[in-house]
Amino acid sequence: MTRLRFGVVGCGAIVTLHQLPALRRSAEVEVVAVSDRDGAWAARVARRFGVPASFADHHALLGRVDAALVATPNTTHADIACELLERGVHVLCEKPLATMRADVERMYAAAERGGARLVAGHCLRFSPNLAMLARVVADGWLGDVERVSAAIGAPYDAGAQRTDFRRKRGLAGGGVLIDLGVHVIDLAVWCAGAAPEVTGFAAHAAPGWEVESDAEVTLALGARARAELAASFTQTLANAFTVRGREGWATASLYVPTQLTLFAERARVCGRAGMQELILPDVSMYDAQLAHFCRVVRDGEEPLVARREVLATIDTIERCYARAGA
Amino acid sequence: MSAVLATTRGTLAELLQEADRRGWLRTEGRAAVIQVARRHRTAAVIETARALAGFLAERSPGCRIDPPAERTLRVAGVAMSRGVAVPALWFEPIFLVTVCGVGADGFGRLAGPLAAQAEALAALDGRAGAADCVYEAHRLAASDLVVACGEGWCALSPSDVALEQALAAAAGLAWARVPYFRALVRHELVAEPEPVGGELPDLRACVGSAWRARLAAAAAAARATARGVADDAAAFRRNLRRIPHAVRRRLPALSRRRSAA
Repeated sequence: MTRLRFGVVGCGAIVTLHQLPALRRSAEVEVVAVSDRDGAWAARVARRFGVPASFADHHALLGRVDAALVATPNTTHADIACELLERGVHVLCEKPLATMRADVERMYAAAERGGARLVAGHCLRFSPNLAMLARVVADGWLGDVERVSAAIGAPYDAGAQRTDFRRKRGLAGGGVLIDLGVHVIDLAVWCAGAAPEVTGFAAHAAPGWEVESDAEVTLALGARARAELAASFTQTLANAFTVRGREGWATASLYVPTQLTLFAERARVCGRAGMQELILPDVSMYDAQLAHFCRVVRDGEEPLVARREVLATIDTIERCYARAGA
Repeated sequence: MSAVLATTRGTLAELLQEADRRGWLRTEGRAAVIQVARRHRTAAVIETARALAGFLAERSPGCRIDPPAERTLRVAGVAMSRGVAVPALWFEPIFLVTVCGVGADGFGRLAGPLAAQAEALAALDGRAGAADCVYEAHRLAASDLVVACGEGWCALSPSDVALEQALAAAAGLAWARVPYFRALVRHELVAEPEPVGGELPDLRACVGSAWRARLAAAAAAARATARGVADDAAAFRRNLRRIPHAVRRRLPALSRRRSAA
């Protein structure tokens, strides 16, 4: 099997900590080049990960790669991805795919024109416990979904970032809602299988932030279910995702991928011994996401994150910002 | 009312009718799954399982005998620190029945319903100790109905513990000294047995030797210790490998703070 020639656009923390190690572990791809606006940094990253070429401009990847990971600041995703897609380069794009519905549609249109595949990198969907949670919901173990609650967040300064783009509206396209909240909105859309209606949104910008650093959203998911989601760049939240149904509930840590706690009334084990903690295989979500991307490109598998789900998520975020007058 | 029905002369059908009258066979629309113990699987055991399947088929959709564990899930254990691999079937709403024979057991002295229930777990985790499997199987999936039988006799109960106690008594063993019960009472209270409704045969010939059970217990303890040491070493190695990654994650924040200061 010929390995996919892979390029990486943007060499921030997510790439150096997670995506490049996953790309190096994969037998299906060969990373042939990395690019970053900071050319010297790109060269350093290339040396560290044994990548043969590095560039300061992503255009240099054209003609050299079959597929690319776009992991640049949020507002630049659409233009970069469109250029690649239109030239037939398959794109795995970090979340959020774009910061506006119009850009998302533009990206999918570019993919169609270029005959390339576009996959939205909502990596948490590949976390073993969240994938299992979605399966539990889909298999009806919890009955009809009634409530989704999730909180994601930690002090921004405690994490690894190479640049400070998340504080700036021009590059981030929004605040914590579009950067971290997008994860839990996407998971809610996935699990509930319904496009959300925004019923409430509250946001706060801490000093030094052009955009909101804390956000809370309430959503209606279809006729019966509702969601309460919180995201923060200033405080450590529960970092968990919980789905409650008519016949049970399940909760998954966003950062401990091997654990899923659940109670399902109809499950014999739960009837006998109460709630259960499932222990799942310790598989890197980045490895699983990359393997999925390769199947989408090679075998024509449908992307796990469907276009309508990407649109539902970005619509939700846009409506929240419209409510806030942002 | 006794929790165990037994006979040394009647047929299984009579026992089942009485069990039905007592509400022990209320499947409530659940599919019945009959697990038949592999150890001490005599012709009588097979015949009993088939008869039971015929009886339950009338009141349960899709009654199955020994369905294969096509999919497994691992759940956190109480006795097994690495978790317990269980058949995914246990998460479905099933009416679970265990049918077993009775015979000598190297670890527990008497292999009855508790050991029979544990077979499903032992098959999925070759490293698991016998006593741990017995407790976890009882905790997670004690059967709705347990049936023990031999040549010319049969006993059944909705309680795995009650039937095991009755069989231990018929084998001349004080239940509290049976190794499998020792494993159970480390985690839960076990009530004193009630008198059996009916008659059980003399099962003393089915009891394994006490010294072999003691040796097996000592060997199991040594294996558990060795496993613990190996697991600790593996965890230590894993954590050691995480250190560079953790440092890399925190370095940018540290340097930011330093430059801000």
